[in-house]
Amino acid sequence: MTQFKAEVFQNAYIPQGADEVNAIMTVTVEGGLGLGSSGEKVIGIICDTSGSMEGGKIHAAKDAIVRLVWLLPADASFFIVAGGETGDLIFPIAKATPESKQRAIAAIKTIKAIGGTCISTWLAKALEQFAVAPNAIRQCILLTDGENEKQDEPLLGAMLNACEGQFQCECRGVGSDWKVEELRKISGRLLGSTDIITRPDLIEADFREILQRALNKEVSDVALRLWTPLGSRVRFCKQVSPDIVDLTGRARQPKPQIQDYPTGAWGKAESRDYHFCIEVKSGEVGDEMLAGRASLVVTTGGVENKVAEARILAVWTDDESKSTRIDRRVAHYTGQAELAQSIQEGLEARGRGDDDVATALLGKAVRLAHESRNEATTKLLRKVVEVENEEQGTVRLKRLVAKEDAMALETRSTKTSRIQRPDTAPGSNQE
Amino acid sequence: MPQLLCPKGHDSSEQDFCSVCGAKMVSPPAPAQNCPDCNAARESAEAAFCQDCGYNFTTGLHGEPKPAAQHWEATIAVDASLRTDESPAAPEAFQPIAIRLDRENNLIGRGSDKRAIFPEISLDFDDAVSHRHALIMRTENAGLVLRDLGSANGTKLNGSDAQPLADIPLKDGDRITLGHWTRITVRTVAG
Repeated sequence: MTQFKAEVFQNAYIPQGADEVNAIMTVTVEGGLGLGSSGEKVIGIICDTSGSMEGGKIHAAKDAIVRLVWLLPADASFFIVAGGETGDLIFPIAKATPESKQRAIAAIKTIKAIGGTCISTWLAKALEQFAVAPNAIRQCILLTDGENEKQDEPLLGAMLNACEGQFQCECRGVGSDWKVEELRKISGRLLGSTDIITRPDLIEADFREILQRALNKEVSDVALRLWTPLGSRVRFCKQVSPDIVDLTGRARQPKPQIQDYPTGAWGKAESRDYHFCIEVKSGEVGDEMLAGRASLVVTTGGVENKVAEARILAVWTDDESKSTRIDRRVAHYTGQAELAQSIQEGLEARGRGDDDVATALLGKAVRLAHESRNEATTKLLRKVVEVENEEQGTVRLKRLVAKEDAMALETRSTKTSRIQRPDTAPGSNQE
Repeated sequence: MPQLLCPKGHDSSEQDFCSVCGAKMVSPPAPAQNCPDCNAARESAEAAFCQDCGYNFTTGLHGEPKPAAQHWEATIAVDASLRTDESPAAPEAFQPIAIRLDRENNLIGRGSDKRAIFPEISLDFDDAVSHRHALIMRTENAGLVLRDLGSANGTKLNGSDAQPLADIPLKDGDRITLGHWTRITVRTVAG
């Protein structure tokens, strides 16, 4: 049975008159196989085959898909959609037997790069295929290199509504002619990530990693259930690690006072952090109340199973030494959210030529990344700005920046660092 | 699950915090039980005694439980082997006297009407004992301490000199020797 462990980190003490409770919940999968998993896995591959893919990109993509097909374990199922102006199901869902792999590879060989980009039609085909195995771990990979056609926008919105909760989708943009915002909208709704593949020859390694992660999943359709007391309001609920995903608007409300946030599938030893910010009715000094009860709910064949629970408390105090302390995890992830926001707004300002604002915001990002030891983000920032002083965040904008580097920074700005243990981070000021 | 009532009056399905308003639940009162002896209703789960017959719900007896049945006793005896060369002969056929140490302070000494000294442990037969020689005092936790009051000839506890004006805890079976040949043994006694 898959065991989930939920732990809440917070400073429950709040001053009189205050009505906001912040908490970080760490959810970790412990233990082995079982609950909620039929053991079945379906991998969907959607490859952009529009005209812009012509040349090196389509060759690399085709090669990568062929290799991916070879890697599939025999007990997994898969299908392939070639995406142009319409979605073309070139290989319908089948078990990954050597025989069907051969057929799939023959089908891949026929792919030609031609036509436009209407992502909604691609997703529609995938949705049909995934509907065959509703209890399986359902993972889709979407590879594109360009922008969605303008006329497809409203259709895409409606299609995302239909696909939400039906499968998960990792989006990859190859090259630099695609829009981060657009793919992020898709991957966000479909509980995946968006990333850039700067060169076509890197597609294969990326696909391999996505497949590895998908095959590692054990439980699908896990919801994060948050109960809050009468008269309270959830200001936000965000996944904050491994990357920032705002789930606030994504809640379903099965009952009053209860919000269910989708978290998708979970794999072995996976661990994620969530940040809750709850507005409660202000209490009197000495009052103690439950501001939230967070649990994980696994649905198997229509039956809900609550698998872990943690409590978020609020205790009103007039002792300032207690109420002014900020939990180090809450502080850390508040900082990481600020870091992501500084990068996104900084790049936006840079894009519209507002260099002063861009310098200030990206400088702040450099400082925040340094303070929180987010080395991956620091490295990406250094490709866009010349760092003079990391601690103070003094930077100069680089004049010549590869578009791919700016896009990589933008797509990966939401990747957070995990909090350092105090014994491995003697310089940490989060304590 | 039985419905529980939260401090604000909501029906809660949770036992720790109210499932409606989140208020901390106070532990629900245990169901009232009747007195096993006279079958009168017990007032509340905290009530120690039956209001009608005085049944003690904890001990199952009637009335207040008896206090711990134990007290201290001091036995005065003459031990001729304690005699020194300067001492007069020890009185023969001295029958040991047992004194119950009921009081907070028990003076060891020789009585004097003139000086209004009336020791609880009176050792008039031994003229090497000071009028105010020593005190045996009860401590808060029902123990005893010995304090030599700066006596002329000193006090020994289990054969060693007791420091004057210091409180020394006593235990069951301790022997206090003083004067020419007087020995006081302290003991805890049941009943």
